[in-house]
Amino acid sequence: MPKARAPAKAAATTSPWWLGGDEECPHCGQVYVLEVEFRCPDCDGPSCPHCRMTHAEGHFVCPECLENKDGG
Amino acid sequence: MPKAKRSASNESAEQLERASAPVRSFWSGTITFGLVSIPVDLVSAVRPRQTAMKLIDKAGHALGRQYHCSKEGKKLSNDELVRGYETDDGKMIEITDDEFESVAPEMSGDIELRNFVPLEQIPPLYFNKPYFLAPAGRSAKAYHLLAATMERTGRVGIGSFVMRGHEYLVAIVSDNGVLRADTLRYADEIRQPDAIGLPKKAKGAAKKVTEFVKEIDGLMQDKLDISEMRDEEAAALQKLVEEKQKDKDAVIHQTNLESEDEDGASGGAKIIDLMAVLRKSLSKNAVVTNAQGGPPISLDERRAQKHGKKAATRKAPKKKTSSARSTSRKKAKRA
Amino acid sequence: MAARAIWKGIIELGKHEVPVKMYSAIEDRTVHFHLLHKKDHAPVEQHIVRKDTGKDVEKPEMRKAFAITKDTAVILEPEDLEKLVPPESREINLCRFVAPDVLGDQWFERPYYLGPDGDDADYFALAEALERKKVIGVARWVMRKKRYVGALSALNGYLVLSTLRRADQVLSFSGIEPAKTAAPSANELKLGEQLVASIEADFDPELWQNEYRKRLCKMIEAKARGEKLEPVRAKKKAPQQSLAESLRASIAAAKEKKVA
Repeated sequence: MPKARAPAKAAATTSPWWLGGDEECPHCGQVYVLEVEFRCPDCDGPSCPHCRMTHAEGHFVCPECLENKDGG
Repeated sequence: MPKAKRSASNESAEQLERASAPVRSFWSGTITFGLVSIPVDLVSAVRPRQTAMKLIDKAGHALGRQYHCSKEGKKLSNDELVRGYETDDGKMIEITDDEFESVAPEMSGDIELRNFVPLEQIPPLYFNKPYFLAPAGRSAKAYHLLAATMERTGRVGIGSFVMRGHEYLVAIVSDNGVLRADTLRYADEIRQPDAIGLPKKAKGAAKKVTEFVKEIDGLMQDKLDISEMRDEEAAALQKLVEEKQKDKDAVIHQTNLESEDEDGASGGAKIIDLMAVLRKSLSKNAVVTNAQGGPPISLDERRAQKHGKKAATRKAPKKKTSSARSTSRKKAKRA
Repeated sequence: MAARAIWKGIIELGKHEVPVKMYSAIEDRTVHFHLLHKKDHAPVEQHIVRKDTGKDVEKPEMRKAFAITKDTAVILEPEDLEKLVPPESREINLCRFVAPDVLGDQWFERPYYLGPDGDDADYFALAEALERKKVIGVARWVMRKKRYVGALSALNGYLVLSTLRRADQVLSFSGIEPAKTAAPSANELKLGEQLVASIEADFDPELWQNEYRKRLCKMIEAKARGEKLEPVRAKKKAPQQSLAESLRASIAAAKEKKVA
């Protein structure tokens, strides 16, 4: 039984795997690959690397935790 | 494997539908143990939780991402982007795709199974993400041999391989005849209780322990209840979406909202129909049921359903042999 | 360095309450990369824009839509999404207890350590009870506006709570039988078991190191110094033999290794 190949794209360059993805960022809705996922140290929630924010104290947090200073 | 009762047979058909939905395989290679090699294609064994969310503006226009240079402020195309790493002293070093490939080329093609360990010895906190392995070679004999051997011995193969610039440690298990690669966390990725700051272990009061044991006994069950494992969030969302549909202002019409791969981001990955690939090496009499033990579904009928033709005479379901039964794991202490 | 607790909850078991703090059990060791502009190595930012015009869109203008068909979707306003938020609660409810082999490994998602929140005695008593019974508890709770299902177990005297995937996400097969042509013979099965026996061992996580990560770091540091590392050579593929031949040769090789 044949394993169909994805239909060839007439478009420009094929993007590298690290710009695509199967995961959906809960903050911006864009796709990303699991290998580049960011996990918020405050809530352990996933996000794409672009949505990672810098907390006033210097560490990285997700956009939600940046808003809610008092935590869950 | 969950031994729970499913309600309607509609759910079993739905499950199979999802199992047979074509998925992208982003890695192909061979499993090796000793000199035996099994060509396989890797596909995710986890389905997404809900319908994809599309980002739009208030007027309903589709939104997407665009990359901008932080220095020049202008838009960048995908081929103007590279990956960089920061060194300990703050330097930003670009690493090209070729350089990535050159780091460990001997590790990208094979999963060499170096140990076979009893499955129950792996504590659950090591398990990360599961992937099904579809047989990709001319003959699936070695594939079925590995699956059968692991079921009989109750042992799973441990190995590692490199994919997408990362090394993955995996346990290859037999999921009732289908090989599954469960990625594991490395020892240094699991925190220790003292590192977290948990208090030193203390002995619980014997009376309290007995009370807790009594409560546990009262709630012991043989199986899972699938309704406890249901995705209520997805169901509530689905209901809300269906209700909102009645409001004409809330519905947007646009061609190809579900457009995937606009940037060709799949990178030419193969599309695999796992069920079709498995059927290639299954006997015509083979019966596929869903995990919850719903009514057996004849493959002939399934094929006919798909093509809208009349089903061939239904063949009697094949008797399950011991290799098809789930391994009864020893209730040994988890390490 | 003590970790920050992600959440605080109360385990409910019968009339008992065990207050706990939740900590991530995972240490992220990934070497993360940055997206850079090829020309000047400047960091790259993501902008959310209208697909048709390419113009930037501000956050207050953004809405979420969920597809019904390929061409239609439903917009959900923030007020609608608010309706989905479950009532806040600190309770971790234990619905049932099952034997460990009832939950296959593909169900486990994210592990957390639970530590006592005030009452050490009850916490350790519960851990001891779980370890003695060798069972897993199915737990449900609401954390940060989302519903969770998880497995509560004991590991070396401490409580571990792992989130679980949902029934709709996990696929399993049964009744898969090979066709006659793909079915291994009795002899091949016997040889297969012998081969597995020759490379069996107990699970020791310390045996496995992330080699790729080490080499990648070395390469980055070397490149920073302006050096070039020797590329590793890929192994030559062994010629294909019949399955039985491969099995026999492998067993022989494994036996030699043991004797040596």
